[in-house]
Amino acid sequence: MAFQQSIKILCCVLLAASAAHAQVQVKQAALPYAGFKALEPRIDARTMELHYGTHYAGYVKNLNAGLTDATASGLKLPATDLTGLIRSVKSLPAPLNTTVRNQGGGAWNHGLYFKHLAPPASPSVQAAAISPQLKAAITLSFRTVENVTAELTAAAGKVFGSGWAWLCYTGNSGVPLAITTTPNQDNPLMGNLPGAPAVKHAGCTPILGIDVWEHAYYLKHGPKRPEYLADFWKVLSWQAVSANYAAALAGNVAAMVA
Amino acid sequence: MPFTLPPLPYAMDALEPHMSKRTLEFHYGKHHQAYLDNMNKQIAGSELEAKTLEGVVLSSWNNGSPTPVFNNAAQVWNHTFFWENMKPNGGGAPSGKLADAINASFGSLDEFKAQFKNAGATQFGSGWAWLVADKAGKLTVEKTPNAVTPLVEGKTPILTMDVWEHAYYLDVQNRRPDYMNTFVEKLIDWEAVAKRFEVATA
Repeated sequence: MAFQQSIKILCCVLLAASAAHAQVQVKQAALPYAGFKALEPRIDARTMELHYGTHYAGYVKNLNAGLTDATASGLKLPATDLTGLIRSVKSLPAPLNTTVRNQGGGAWNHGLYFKHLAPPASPSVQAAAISPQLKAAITLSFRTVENVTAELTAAAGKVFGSGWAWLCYTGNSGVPLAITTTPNQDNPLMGNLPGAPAVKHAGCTPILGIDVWEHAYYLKHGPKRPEYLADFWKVLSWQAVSANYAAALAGNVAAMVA
Repeated sequence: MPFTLPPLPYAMDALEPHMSKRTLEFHYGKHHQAYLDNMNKQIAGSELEAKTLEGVVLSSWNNGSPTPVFNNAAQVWNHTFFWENMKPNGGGAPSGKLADAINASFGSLDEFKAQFKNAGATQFGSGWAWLVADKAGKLTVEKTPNAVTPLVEGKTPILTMDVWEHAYYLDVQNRRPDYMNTFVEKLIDWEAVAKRFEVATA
């Protein structure tokens, strides 16, 4: 009897030990449309293939490698999901902080991006797909949908170098939405990072992201970023952005990128 | 007087197959030209118009709080420098004093290449990799983000490699390492680099 008890206890201890060192690994979000051609002719299949299959996949792979190394060296991670890691990037030791910032940021940002696109013929890209809740927030913050898309387009056009333009939930009920931009794969959820320029509305929750790294548009448009931005609005799913807004209100940010 | 772009030192297709004509058409004809046009608009009627291009770069750097002119001015300067340090049938190896300096500073040409490519690989996002010389002939590899250039630190670059995605995306897409290998092995004009080294150490 005592022997069997010991075995049970040993098994529990081993399980607990392996759980303590359980790998935190992140996965790419699945595309919510049928493959790389689905956004044609607005976003070309080759760009989708590279952007999703190589750039986004690469960020996830590199992040996971960094997380494996960190856990193997005995580091206790402050979060076990991608959004939690992004939010806590400032508290991480080197070199994990840089990995989470660059590769984790890339993983988060591209999850949001690919999940909120839709085929150009889909009703979800029409303004009619904006939920009443999101519409009210847009009215409070920008007055009209035309204003918010125009301001986002302008912000995306002004980003110098690689980066993103964002529509974010501020948490402020009077002006619930705001626009900001971040360089490289930084994200407003990271807050203001040491050594980096201050981010407007740092800490806000992105619900819509426009990738303006050249890899997002160069094969189809060359240097003509404004033409890419015009294409972007034809495949942006307002239904998904509405769902993101609801998720942000509910505090379920992780769902936006998974 | 507005600034103008020096012509490309070679035909648009002269660097084929290592750097495509289409890349040069966009990179020189659109990106470089746009930086110039935008800079000219920004400085029109100001005292910056009377400066040299380097003067505009340094002035707009504003000791680390760059004005809106800086990104354009520095990119004009950086790209002119970039074209000048490539040539058709480039690559090979440096000789003479430059070769000696590379060996003295890095141990070997191969080690310099490895460090230079590592700088390009680890410049996350857009930017440049540089070889910089001091007056005594000591060489160091540096990397800078976006439009930033060693000029603003009072340093003398003698070689640069553009690692903005527009420099290579049409040719090798995301494969920046392939682009960097091609640049180092097939494109560098070592004679141009040697001339700059001579001027730096004069």
